[in-house]
Amino acid sequence: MSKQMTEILTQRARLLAQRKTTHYELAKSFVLVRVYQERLLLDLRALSRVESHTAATPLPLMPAGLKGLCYFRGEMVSVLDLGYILGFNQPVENGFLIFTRTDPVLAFQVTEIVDLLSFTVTEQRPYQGSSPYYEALSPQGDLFLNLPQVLQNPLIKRSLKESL
Amino acid sequence: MNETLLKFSLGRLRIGLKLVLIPAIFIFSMILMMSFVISAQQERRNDADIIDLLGRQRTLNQWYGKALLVAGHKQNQDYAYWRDTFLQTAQALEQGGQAVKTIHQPEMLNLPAAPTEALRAKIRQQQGLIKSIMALEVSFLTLSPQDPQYHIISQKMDQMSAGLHQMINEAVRMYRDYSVEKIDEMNRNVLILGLLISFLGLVLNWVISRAITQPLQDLTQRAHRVSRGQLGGEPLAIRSLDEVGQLTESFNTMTQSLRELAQQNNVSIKDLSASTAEILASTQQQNASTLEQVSALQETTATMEEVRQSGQQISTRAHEVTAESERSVNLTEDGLQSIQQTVGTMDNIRLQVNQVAENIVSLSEKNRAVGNIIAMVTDIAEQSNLLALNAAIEAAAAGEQGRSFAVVASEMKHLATQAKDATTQVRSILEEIQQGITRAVLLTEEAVKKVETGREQTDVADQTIRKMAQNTQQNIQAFQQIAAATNQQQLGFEQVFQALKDIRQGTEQTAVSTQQLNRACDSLNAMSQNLQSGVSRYQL
Repeated sequence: MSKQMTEILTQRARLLAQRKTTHYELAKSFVLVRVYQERLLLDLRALSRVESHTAATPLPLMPAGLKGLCYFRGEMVSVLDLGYILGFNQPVENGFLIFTRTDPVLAFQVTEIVDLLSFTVTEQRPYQGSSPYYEALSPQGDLFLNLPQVLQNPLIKRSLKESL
Repeated sequence: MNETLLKFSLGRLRIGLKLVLIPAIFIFSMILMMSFVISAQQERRNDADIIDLLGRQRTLNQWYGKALLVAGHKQNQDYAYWRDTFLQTAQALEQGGQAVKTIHQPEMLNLPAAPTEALRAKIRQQQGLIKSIMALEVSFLTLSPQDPQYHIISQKMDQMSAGLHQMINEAVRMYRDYSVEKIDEMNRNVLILGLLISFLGLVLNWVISRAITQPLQDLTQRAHRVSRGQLGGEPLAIRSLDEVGQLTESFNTMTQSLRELAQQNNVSIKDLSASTAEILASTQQQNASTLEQVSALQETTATMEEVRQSGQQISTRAHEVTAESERSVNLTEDGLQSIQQTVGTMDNIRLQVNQVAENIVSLSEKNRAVGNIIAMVTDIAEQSNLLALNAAIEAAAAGEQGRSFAVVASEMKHLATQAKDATTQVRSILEEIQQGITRAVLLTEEAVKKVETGREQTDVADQTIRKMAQNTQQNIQAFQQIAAATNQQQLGFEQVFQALKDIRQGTEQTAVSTQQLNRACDSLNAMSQNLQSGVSRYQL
């Protein structure tokens, strides 16, 4: 064994001795959607289905933000405009429907399904704004949607109540 | 006003007369004084006669007394002569008149009256006293010297004679005093008159001198100003009509003339400068033009030489072209055969291009079919993507058990995304192919049109070549005529060439003359500027 090889092995042994134990966090998957110009991240575990846009049947005197009803897997589902709920002033036309894993099921209309991404908790940066519907920011600046808080919106609660 | 004053003042006199006037005044003053002195001396001369007569009265009184005494002794004596002469003289002295100048002589002397009342009274007293003696005269002569009364009257008469003698002395003294007083008065008057005349003479002399020198001083100052070039200002005032006044008037006229002359000179020099500048510019321009002409003539001469040589070449070439044209006629026949072959070839090309166009249309339809298939594949890819996403959702809902499935779903989504990207690239390529096909269709259509055009042009070329063959025959005849005309043209070129040489020599001489004229204009311009600077010294 040459002297040079001996030195390499010695340095490698030192590095192994100094290496600290690393705890790997489990990454969670999120679907990145676009509502108007805003990019939002939704936790996959809170969703049940993603479909291309299906025409929702409008109801007489239905409130703003409620696009209508659609039939999905044997039950009537309320289709809601996610942009209206989040305070955007322009309605979402066409796009995709994201079905929640709630009982009863709700569908949010979004403009585009952008990507499927995974983030650990440490990669998420705290959200400094005042809106209760966002809980964190991704390294790319996308907003993590706080879906349980969104479901507390009065329009959704009324929709859930009427559905029940 | 000034002219009126001049008419009645010294100003109207000539300088010579003024200069004569000074000694004339002096001589006149001397004559006046001498006349006065002579007149006074004449009076004093009468005074001497009068004093002499007054003194002679004493002698007459003494002779009268003595003659009377002698007559008292009874001797014949002419005492009355002395008494009457005395009285006559006294009357003449008192009232004026004639008196005996010399005793016992008939010569008479004319006397003025006594000048003063006191003297006249004194003379009248003398007359009264001698008349008193004359009253005693008869008594005295009648008495005997032994008579006691005789002595008494004699003594009385002596006393009266003595008193008369005293009066005569007083009268002489009075007249002498009067005469002395007159002499003093005369001396005083002479002195005053002399001073007055001297003062008036000085004043007149000063006035005359000033009348002469003042205009001369003004003239001198103005002449100095004129010598410095100051021609402006009001003209000098004419104060006299003499030579100085005439000189002033002439000086004013001269100054005015100089000013007008300077102004005219100034204007003329400016005009001269402008004209000189224009002439200079024109001369320079002419010089440049002449040089350009010389250059152009040189070029023209050279060109003419080339033209002459070209003419010779043309003549030579005309013969050659004639021969070539004859050969071209033969070649034209070959060209007509080639045109026929070209027409056949163009028909074959048109058929092939039509086949290519049909193939391209078929290719375009197939390309559209591929596009539809790609659209279908894109739809499938999007559905696969959505399916992978839903699989991922289901995997996430399954938790740890679905993690492996989530990886598969993720890979499926990745493949769907790649398929979608690939279909997008294929669609882009198909669009480019479609555009290329469209351009190929257009080019093919243009090619068909060009083939048709080529066919038409070939027909035109066929007709043109036939016409060319005819024209070539005509050209052969024309070239033969050109060859003959070129020979005549050569003779003309020789003459033109000689004429150009003459013109060139003349133009070169003109250029030399123009340069001399240019130098003369430069000198003239410099002289004009010097003259202008000289005239600018005059302040108008």
